[in-house]
Amino acid sequence: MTPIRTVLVGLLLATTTTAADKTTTDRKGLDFFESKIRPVLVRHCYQCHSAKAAANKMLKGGLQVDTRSGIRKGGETGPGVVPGQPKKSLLVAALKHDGLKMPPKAKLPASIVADFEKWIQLGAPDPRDGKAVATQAIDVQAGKAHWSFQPLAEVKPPAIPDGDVVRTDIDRFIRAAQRAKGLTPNPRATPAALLRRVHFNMIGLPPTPDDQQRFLAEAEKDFEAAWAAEIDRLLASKHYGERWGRHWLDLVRFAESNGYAFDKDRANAYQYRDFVIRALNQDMPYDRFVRLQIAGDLLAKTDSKTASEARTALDAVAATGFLVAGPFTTQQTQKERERSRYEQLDDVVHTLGTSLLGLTVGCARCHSHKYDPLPQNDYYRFVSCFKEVGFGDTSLNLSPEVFQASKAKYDAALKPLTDAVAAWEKSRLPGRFDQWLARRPSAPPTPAFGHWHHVGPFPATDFNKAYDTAVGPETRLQAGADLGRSFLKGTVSWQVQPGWTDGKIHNTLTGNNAANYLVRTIDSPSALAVEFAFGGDDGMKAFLNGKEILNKKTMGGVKADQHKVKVTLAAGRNELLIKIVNAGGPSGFFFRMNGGQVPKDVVAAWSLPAEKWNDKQKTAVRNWYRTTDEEWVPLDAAVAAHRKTEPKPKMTPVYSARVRGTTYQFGGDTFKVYFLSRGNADNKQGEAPAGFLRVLMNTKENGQHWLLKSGDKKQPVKPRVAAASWLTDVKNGAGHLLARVIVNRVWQYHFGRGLVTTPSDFGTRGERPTHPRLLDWLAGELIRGGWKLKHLHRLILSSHTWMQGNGRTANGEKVDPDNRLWWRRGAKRLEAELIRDTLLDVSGRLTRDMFGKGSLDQKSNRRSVYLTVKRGQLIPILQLFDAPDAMQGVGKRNESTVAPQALAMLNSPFIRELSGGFAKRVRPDAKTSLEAAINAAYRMALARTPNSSEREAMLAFVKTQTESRKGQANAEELAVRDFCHLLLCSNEFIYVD
Amino acid sequence: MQHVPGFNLASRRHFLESAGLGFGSVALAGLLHSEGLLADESAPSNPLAPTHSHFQPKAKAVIWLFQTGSPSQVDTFDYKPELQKRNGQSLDGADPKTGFFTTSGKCLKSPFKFKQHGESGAWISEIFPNISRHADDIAFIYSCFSRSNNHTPAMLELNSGFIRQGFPSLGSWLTYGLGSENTNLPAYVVMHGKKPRGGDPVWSSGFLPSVFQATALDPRQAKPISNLQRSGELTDPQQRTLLDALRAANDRHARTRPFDRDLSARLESFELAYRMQVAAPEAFDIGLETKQTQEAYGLNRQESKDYGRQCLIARRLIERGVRFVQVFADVAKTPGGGVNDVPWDAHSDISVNHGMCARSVDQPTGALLDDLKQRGLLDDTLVIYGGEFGRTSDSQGAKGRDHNPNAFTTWMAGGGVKGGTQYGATDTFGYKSVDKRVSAHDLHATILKLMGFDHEKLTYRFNGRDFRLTDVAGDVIDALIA
Repeated sequence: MTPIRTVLVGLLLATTTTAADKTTTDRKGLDFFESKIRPVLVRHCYQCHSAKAAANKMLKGGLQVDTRSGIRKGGETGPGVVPGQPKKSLLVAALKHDGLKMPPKAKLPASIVADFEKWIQLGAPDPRDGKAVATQAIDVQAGKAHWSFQPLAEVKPPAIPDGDVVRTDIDRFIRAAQRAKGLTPNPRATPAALLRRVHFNMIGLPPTPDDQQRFLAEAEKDFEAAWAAEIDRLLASKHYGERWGRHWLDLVRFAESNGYAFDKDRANAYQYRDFVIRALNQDMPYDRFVRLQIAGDLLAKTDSKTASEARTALDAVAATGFLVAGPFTTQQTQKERERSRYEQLDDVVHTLGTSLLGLTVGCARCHSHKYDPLPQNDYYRFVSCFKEVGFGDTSLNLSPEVFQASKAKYDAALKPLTDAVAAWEKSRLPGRFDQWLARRPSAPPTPAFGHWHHVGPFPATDFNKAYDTAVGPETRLQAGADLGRSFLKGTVSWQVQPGWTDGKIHNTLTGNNAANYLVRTIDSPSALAVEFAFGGDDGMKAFLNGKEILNKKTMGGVKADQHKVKVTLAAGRNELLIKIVNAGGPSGFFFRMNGGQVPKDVVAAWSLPAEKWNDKQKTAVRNWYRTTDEEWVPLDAAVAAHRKTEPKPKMTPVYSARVRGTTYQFGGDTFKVYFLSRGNADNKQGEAPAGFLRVLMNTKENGQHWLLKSGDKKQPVKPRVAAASWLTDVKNGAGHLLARVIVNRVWQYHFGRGLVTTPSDFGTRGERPTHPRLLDWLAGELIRGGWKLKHLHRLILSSHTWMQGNGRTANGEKVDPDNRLWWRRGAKRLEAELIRDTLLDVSGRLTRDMFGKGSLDQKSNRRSVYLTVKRGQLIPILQLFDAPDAMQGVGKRNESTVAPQALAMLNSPFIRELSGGFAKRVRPDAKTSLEAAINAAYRMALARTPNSSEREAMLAFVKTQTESRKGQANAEELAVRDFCHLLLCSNEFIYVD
Repeated sequence: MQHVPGFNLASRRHFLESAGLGFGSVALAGLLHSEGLLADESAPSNPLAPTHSHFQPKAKAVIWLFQTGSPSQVDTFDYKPELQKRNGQSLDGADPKTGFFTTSGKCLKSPFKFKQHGESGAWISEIFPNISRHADDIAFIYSCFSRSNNHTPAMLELNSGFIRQGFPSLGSWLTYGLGSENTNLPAYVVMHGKKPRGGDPVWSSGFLPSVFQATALDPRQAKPISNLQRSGELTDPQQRTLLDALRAANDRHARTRPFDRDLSARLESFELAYRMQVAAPEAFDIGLETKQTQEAYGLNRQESKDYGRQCLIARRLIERGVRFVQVFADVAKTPGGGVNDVPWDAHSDISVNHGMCARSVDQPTGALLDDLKQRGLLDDTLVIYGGEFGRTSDSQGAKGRDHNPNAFTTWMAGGGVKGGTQYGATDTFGYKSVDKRVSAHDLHATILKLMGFDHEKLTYRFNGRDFRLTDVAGDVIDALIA
C-alpha cells in the first residue's frame, strides 16, 4: 500500500465551481473581466506569474494567473481567488499589500483593487481555459503502517529440529527460511579461514603467524573454547574501535577540513574520530553514543574536577563533531549566506536521517516527501531543533588534578607573601605613615624626566637577529650603570633628542632589520607605582634599571598606547632603556607615563592640614603613601612577581558544535529557522517551532513529550536534548527504528549485505528486509542487552550463518542464486584502509600508536583511520580503492575494479618499496632457504601455508626471475622481491573468504 | 535491438550487488533476462564496456573547453550597441551587489570592436579572429544564467547541476551511461594547468562508483598520468613473467570460488593495466604530431602553447575513443584581475585581461575546430565553450567587470548541433538574460540528449533517492539540435 494520499486540490476546486461558472458567465461578467481585470493581470502580473514566466524560469511563488484554474489554485501560499469571497482570496490581500505585497514595487490604485473585489464577488467569471497542477497532501497516520515505522515485533526464535546446524538463535531464523526452500547451508569454514576472516572483520588486520600458530593449536584441542577466546580477544583489542570506527566515519561524512575552494583545515576535528574509536572500544551503549552526538555539548559537565570527569566531558563535546562535520565554504557573498545556512542545516538533518534512521529526511526540504510520510512542516520543525548550532573549538582541561595540584602549590606559596604585606601594613604602616606625615613635603612628588638619548641603528642580517641579539647599550644592562655616560666610550655615541616629547608618535628612526636604542633618566622623589605606555614599529623591548619590563616581537606600524606595563620607580634616579627593532620601511616609537601622578583625591587632601582629613581622605593618602614606602615596595613586588607565575590549566581544543558558534552570518535571522515554501529562503512562512517527525511519534502532543520536562512544572527542554531523547525513545519516539537501522548495519558489515539491502533507506522506496523477524529480534536483543554492540558481535560471530564456508551446495545456486537466504559466504574485498594497513603490516612498517593528529602522507606508517581526511586533498591510494569523498554520508561503499588500481599495484614506487620491506622480512639474508621464505610470505600475507604445487610454482618463478638478471649481484634478492610483489597483487591478498 | 540505459549487460548482476543499485535496476535486469540479453553470465564484468543509450546519439564524444574565471559576454559574443553608446551613464536596474565586490552602476562599454561573421551573421569580438571563422558551425546560447556569483559553486553548478559539492559531474554521468570505447584509456579525462578554483570536487564522480571518475592531469608535467611507468627494477619481460605467474595464482584461487566474479574482473584489470602502459603515453605524446599541426594549435607561441597542448591532446584522446574531455583553459599570463586558477576573472581591466586570455585560447580553439572538421570528427564530437558565469555590464573600478551570474554566453559546435543558431537573449545592456533563459540543467539536458540520453531517465539510486544530473529540472533545447 502507499501511505501517501494524493489529493488533486486544483482539479477539485475547478469541478466544484463549474456550476457556479455557468450561471455567472453571462456577457456582463465576462465583459467586466476583459475590460477591468485581464489588462491589469497582463500588465502587472504575467511577467512573474504566467506559463511564459515559467518557461523563462522566472515564475515566482509557484503562482500562475494566466489561466482560470491557475489563479484559483493559487501558489505556494494558498488559493489566489475564491469565487464570491474576496476576503478569502489571497489575490485581494496581496493587492492591498496586506501580508503579501503585489505588485512588489508599488501598490496599484485603490480603484483597481476595488475592481478585483467586485469581480470576485461576481464569482470571478473567467473564460481562460488551462489546467491546474495536482498537489499532494500527506497522511502521516496512514504512513505509520509502513513496516519500519511499526513498533518492534515481539519475536521468539523459531523452533528448529534437533540435529540441525544451529549454533545461536540467529541460525534459527536463517534456517527456518532456508528449510522452507529446502536449502542447506555450507559447512563451517576451516579454522584457518575463520581466523583470517574474523581478524579482518573485527580489527581490520591479518592474523600474524604467531596468532595462526596459537589459534590453530588451541582449535585442534578444543575448537569451541578456542573460538570463544578468539572472539573475546578481538573484542578486547584496541584495534576493534579503529576498524569499526571507520564504518561509522563513513556514515557521518567525517572530514577534517571545510571543503570548497579554500578547504580550511579543522585542526582539532580528529577529536571526533578519537571519540568514536574510544566509544566503540569501551562498548558505550549505542543510545548514549547517539545522544552524545546530537547534544553532547549541552549534556556535558565542562568544569570537571577529575581526569575521569574530564574524559567524560571530552567524549560528550567531541561527539558533536557529528553535527558539524559537513562542508562549509568560507568564501561567501552576502547574498549567498542565508541560502548556505539552510543548506548547512539540511546537511545536518539529512546526515542524521540517513545515518541514524535510514530516512531521506532531506527530501522534504522543498516539498513534502514524495514517497515517505514526511510532510515539509515536519522537516522544518526538526531542522529548528538545530537552529542554534554553529561550530568551533571548545577548550577542555583534560587533567584537572594536575592543574589543581599546581594551583594549590602556587596558592600555598602566595599566602606567606600576601601575609607579609598584610603584616607590614598592620604593624609598620601606621607608624611610618605618621612619621612621614610629620615631614610631608608641601606638594605631592612628581618624577622628573630627562631627555631621550638615542643611538643606532644597529643593522643585522635579518629581523630576528636584530631583535634577539643584544648589542650596544643592551650588553651593559645592570642596575645603576649610567648608560648615557658608559656608552660614550664606544664607536657611536648617544645623541640627545630634546624634541622627542612624550605622548606623541615619533616616526623618525631608520634602518632595515636594525635596532635603535633610546635611554633616559627618571628621578623620583620616592618609590612610585606608575604605568608606562609604549608603542613601537616594529617590535620593542624595554628595560627599567636593567630589568626587562617589556618584550613584544610584533610587526606593524607604531600606535599610541600599544603596550602598557605597570612598574614601580625606585626612589632616586631610574634609568629607562628601550630598544626598537625595525624589519623594513619607517620605524618609530611612542612613550608616555600614565599614573605616577598622585591620585586626585590625594592631591585634594594634600592642601589641607592632616588633622582636617576625614577617614576617607586619610585612607586615600595612606594607601597612596604606602606605594612610596621603600619597605612596602619590595614586599608588594614579591607578590606581583609570584602572581606572574600563576599556573593556567592546559586546555585541549576540540572541534565541536557550539551554540551560536561559527556559521554563515546574515544578521538577526542567522540562528532562526522559518518554514520555507519550496525550500526558498526568500519565501518565509513564519518561524518554525522545534519538533520531530510525526510518523515516528507515538504521542499526541506534537513532540511536547520530549520538549517539556515531565512532572507538573513542564519546564522546557533544550530542543536538541529533546531531539536526542526522541531519537532514542523506543516506546514513544524513534528508538525502534534507530535500533533496526544499526543492527542492520552491523549485519551488513559482517556479511557484506544487510538484511535490508538499502541500509540508509528504510522508507517506502527502500528494500524490505529479507528476514523481518530476525531484524526485529536483533533490534530487541540490542535494546535488551543495554544497547551494547559487542553483545551483537558475539551473537553474530558465533552463529553458523557467519561461520560457514563458500562452497557449492546441493541446490543453493538453483533455488537462491543471489544468496538472499545466506546459504554461503561470499569472498569480500578488503576496504581501501584495510588494503593499505595490510600492505604496511606485511612489509613490517605498520606502527600501532593510537589517536591524535593525523597525517596527509599516504606513506605514513600509521593505520589509515589516522590519515587526515582533507576534502580537497584526499589520500590517493584510499581513493583508488573506493574510500568515500566525505561530502555525504555513505552507508554502503562502492566497490570498483579498475585498471588504475592494477597500475598502482604494479608500478607505484610505494608498493614496490613495500614489496622490498616484505621480502626483507621473509628472507632477511641468503641463509634463509627460498622454500622457507615462500612459506613465511604465504603465512604473513594470506594466513596460510602454500601447498606443494603452489610452492613449486613460486620457486620456479623466483628461479626464472633470478636467471633473467644474470650477472646482477642482487639478482636473487630482486627475484624474491618480485615474488613478494606478486603476492601483494594477488586476488587472495585483498579478498577474504 | 532496443536501446537500453545503464551498464553493459554482462556486468549488470555484479553491479546490482556491489554498486547498490535499487529496485528499478532489478526490474531492468529481469527485462533483459527475458529478452535473452543477460544470458552470458560468465563474461568478465567490465562496467566500462560500451553500452547503449536511450536514443540514437548524435555525438559520440564531448570536448568541453571551460573558460575558467568567466569571460564577459558583452566583450566576446553578446554584442550590445546600446552599451557602447551609454558608456559612463548609469545602468538601469543595476544592482551593485550582483558580483563578488561592488560595482559602479555605470555602463562600461566594451573596449573591443565587433563584426558580423559568416552567413549566420553572428556578432563576434575582434579578440577572436579564429573562432569567428567558424561562426556558421557554432550555436550561440546568449541567455545562460547560473545560481551563484562565486567561482567554486558556479563551477560546481556548470559541472554537476548543484552548487554544493558531492554530486557527480556531467563527465561521470556520461561515462556511467555510455561506458568507454577504448579500454586502454580512461573514459573521462580532465586537463588543467593550475587546478581551477574548487579543485578536484569540480569534476567529482560524487556518489557514482569511482569507475566513473575523471582522470585529471596537468599536461605540462612530464608524466601526466601516475603509475604508467614500470619500476626500474623490472624489465618488460620480467614484468610479463610476473603477470603470468600472477594470472596462474589468481586462476588457482578463483577455481575454488565459483561465485565470485569480481575475481576474474580483477585479473583482467592487470592485463589492461599492462596494455595501458603503452597506449596511454602514446595518446598524450604530441611529439607524434607534425610540426605543421603543432603550429596550427599555437604550440610555437608562448601565450597559446599551454592551452594549445590541451586542445591537441583532447583531439588525440577523442580520436582514440575517450568519451569526455574537459579542458580548463590554461592561460599562462592573467593580467587585469585574473589569477591563474580563474584566468578570465577580469576584475580590474577587461581590455588587458581578455586581450591576453583571447591570445591564449583563440588560435587553439579555432585550430581544434578546423582539425576535427578535417578529420571528419566534428560531426560526432560535441565541442562546448564557456565559463561558469558572465560579467557585469557596469564597471568595477574604472575598467573591470565583476561576476554576473544573471547572464553569459555558452556556445556549442559539432556533435549534432545546428550551426549558425543564435538562441536566447539578454537585455539591451547584456546585464540579465531575459529571453529563453538557459540554466545549467537545460545545458545538461541538451548535452545528454545529443549523447543519446533522456536526462530524466539517466538516474542513480543513492541514499534512498534516484538522483539525476538535472535534479528535478532541465529542458532540452531542441532549437540547438540539427
